[in-house]
Amino acid sequence: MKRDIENKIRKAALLLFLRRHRYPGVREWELKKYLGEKYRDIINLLDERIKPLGFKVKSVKVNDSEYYAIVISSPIESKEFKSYGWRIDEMAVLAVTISYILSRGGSARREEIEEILEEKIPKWRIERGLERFVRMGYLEEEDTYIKLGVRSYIEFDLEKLISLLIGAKEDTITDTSQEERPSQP
Amino acid sequence: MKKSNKLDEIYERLINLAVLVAEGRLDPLSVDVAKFLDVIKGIDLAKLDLSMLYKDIRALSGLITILEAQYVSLKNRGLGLYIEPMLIKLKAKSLSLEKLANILLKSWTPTVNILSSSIFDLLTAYTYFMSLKPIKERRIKYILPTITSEQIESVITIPENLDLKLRKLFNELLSYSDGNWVKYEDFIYKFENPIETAYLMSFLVTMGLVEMKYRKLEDQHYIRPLTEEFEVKNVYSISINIKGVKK
Repeated sequence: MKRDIENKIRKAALLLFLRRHRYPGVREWELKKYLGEKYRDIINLLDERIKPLGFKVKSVKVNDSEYYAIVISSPIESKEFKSYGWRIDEMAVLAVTISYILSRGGSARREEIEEILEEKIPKWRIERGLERFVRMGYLEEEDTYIKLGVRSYIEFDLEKLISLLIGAKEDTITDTSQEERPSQP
Repeated sequence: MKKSNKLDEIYERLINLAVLVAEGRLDPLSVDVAKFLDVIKGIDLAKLDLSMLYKDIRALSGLITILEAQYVSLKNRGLGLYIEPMLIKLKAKSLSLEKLANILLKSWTPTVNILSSSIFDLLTAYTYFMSLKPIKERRIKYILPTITSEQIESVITIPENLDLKLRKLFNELLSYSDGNWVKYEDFIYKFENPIETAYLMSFLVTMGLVEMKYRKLEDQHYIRPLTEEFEVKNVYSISINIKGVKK
């Protein structure tokens, strides 16, 4: 019995750690299929084991589907972030896009998002950023609208993002509009 | 007759409201769904003609869109995610990029994703490689046809009244797109001679009267007419393959 549970925990770890889809983690039905009806108990046991390492199992419900993924348990410090390879303006694009989509009730017109960002970031960089985030699963594009992708729901504490944005004090504006556009093909 | 007109009005109104909600221009909670449901419930579908039945379906679909938006909006408000769009616009304007990036970082807990491969993947790859023909044998040879200047002229003749044609094409685009982005192909193939239209369009784009963009994920070119003067920057060429016949 104990051995069986151990095997299932190992299986759950493989399912959640190893990349299987374009979006992170797995869906509820996959866990049910591979771990059985009591998959939630197995997930809880796995969660307890990975907690000391700074990870946790997170589940979110998006469009009637439940997704499970392993995330870092607390936000990382900026200094450590350097290795992730995202530019500051790309992160600003994502922060504003997510917040604006939430304020619009779940989806917003791409043009409107671009308009908000255009004042500080060159248009080509905004377009490239949005396309990149769509590709990575943080955003989803439908015709002329953009909505949040599964990955945003899994990886971001949306409530915290909104409250931090509302509470943030004004700052000096960084102007990147003078940046040169790379040469065209 | 009057009753049918009134019903038509209700359907149109509901469809328009759904579009406004979907576009984020109207608060979904401001729509009284129950009132519309009562009206729709009371309609005798057997008496409707085909066009009205079609409108009934569209109106119902619109109602679902509004209900979905109401659900999301209520859920967001319940979770404390409700925020005025104007406030986001102001914050995006007043906060520095560094601050915005930091806000994102403070609410971000990335997922752990390990890329792996198994012995089965390696075996499949090995089998594929072993059965692969050398590049020389696989290379597809493209034969470029030789086109004489007469042949080109038969498809496209440089019009003498180029200015007039350009103005006409610009006005066509203006009325077709209503100032919004439209698919380049959709517009070009509207005309009898798409090659000539594409040729004329290239002038409009070069002159800065029409803006063009390429959406990589869709592999589609989009165009939109510019009603205000536009300073042309970073000029570069784009090649688009088009067929000479109307689709």
